[in-house]
Amino acid sequence: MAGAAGGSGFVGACLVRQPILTRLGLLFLALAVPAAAGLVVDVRTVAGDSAWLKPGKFLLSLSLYAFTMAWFYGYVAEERRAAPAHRALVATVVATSLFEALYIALQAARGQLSHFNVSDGFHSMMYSLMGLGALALTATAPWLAREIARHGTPDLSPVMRRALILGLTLTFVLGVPPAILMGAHLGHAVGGEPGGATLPLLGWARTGGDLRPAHFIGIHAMQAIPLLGWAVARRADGVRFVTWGAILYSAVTLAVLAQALMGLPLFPA
Amino acid sequence: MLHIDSVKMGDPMQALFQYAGLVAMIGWLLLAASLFRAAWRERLWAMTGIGIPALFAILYTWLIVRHWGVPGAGFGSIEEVRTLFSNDALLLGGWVHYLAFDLFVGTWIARSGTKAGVPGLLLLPCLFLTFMFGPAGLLLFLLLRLVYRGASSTAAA
Repeated sequence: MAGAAGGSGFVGACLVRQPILTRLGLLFLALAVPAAAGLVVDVRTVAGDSAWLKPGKFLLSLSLYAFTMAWFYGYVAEERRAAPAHRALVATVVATSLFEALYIALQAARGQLSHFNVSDGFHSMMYSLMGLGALALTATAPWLAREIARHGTPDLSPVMRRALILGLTLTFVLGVPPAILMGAHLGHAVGGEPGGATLPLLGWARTGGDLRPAHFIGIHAMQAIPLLGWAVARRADGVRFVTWGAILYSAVTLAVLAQALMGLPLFPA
Repeated sequence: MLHIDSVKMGDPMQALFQYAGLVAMIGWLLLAASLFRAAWRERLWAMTGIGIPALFAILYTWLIVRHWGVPGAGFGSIEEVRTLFSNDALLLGGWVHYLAFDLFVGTWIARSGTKAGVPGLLLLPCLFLTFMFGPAGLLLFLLLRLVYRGASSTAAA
């Protein structure tokens, strides 16, 4: 890993922008490898899927989150990055994401539920802690948005600035409500046949509603909207383009959520 | 929690077990305090990394030397180790071995983690896990240090 610091490329650039979050992203990526191996060699299932599907998905998602946050740190003015608030922001990402990943992996290894596990006092408490941890983790996205808004690099274009702030904020605003619904509902299925058809790898239900697609689309606003900003950065009306893009993105997320709550699958079997 | 008062006079191993547990507990509390009091750090680490483990080492060595020689006991098989630990004095020796080395490793975690720039609030769960489940806490710390190591030097450069 140390060798990559001097090198070029995406990981090298991330290491310069925020080394701790980049290493965290690399760690989750490395841990996804044994999870993928478990997917192949471990025949046990939890709630109908391979026990390792969920840790694998979470590790990849957490890795992408860490890398995205590390990359976006490049848009915070360099003299501001050393502020104590950033030490706290980074530590929050590290602590909450490691907690989620390790507990999910531990429960998968034991062939037990992690989320939605209220079988006894200990598991109920851990499930509540996971909810709090995930909320704190997701809150670091709008936290970084605020830092970029107030202490952005001087050369940050208005288009990218708008895209970063909207994307990071929407990750929290759009990603959290489906998660809270899943938490309150103790599951992600809305109707449908238990053990019915699902999408390969993602595992989303194809016979009934599933709250996960809306959560997925929502939390990835922080990648989607800045990508749009990057694509339209040279247009004179780029800022308006990004704003309308974000509105459309929010509408699609809400539509997918509404469809799930009506008990309808996103990709019917 | 430790019920020192309830120790029966006739059971010295039980009494030693409880005193050792109390000393270890004090050591872990001092170690936790060291994360948040930079001025006391070196003095606290001298206690938790040298003083208390040395006390445990003396107790351990005395127990082992005094009680070694249980027939059929050894390190060669699970059966031999089980026989070894069927003797209360040697079982206590094994327990003191845990207490000594866990605290020693905990001190190393605090020292090495502080040096690598890992925030104290993140080191606290590592210490708790080391206190409860030894190597699991070490593992968590090694992962954390992997994430934090070199970060402070990169930021300074």
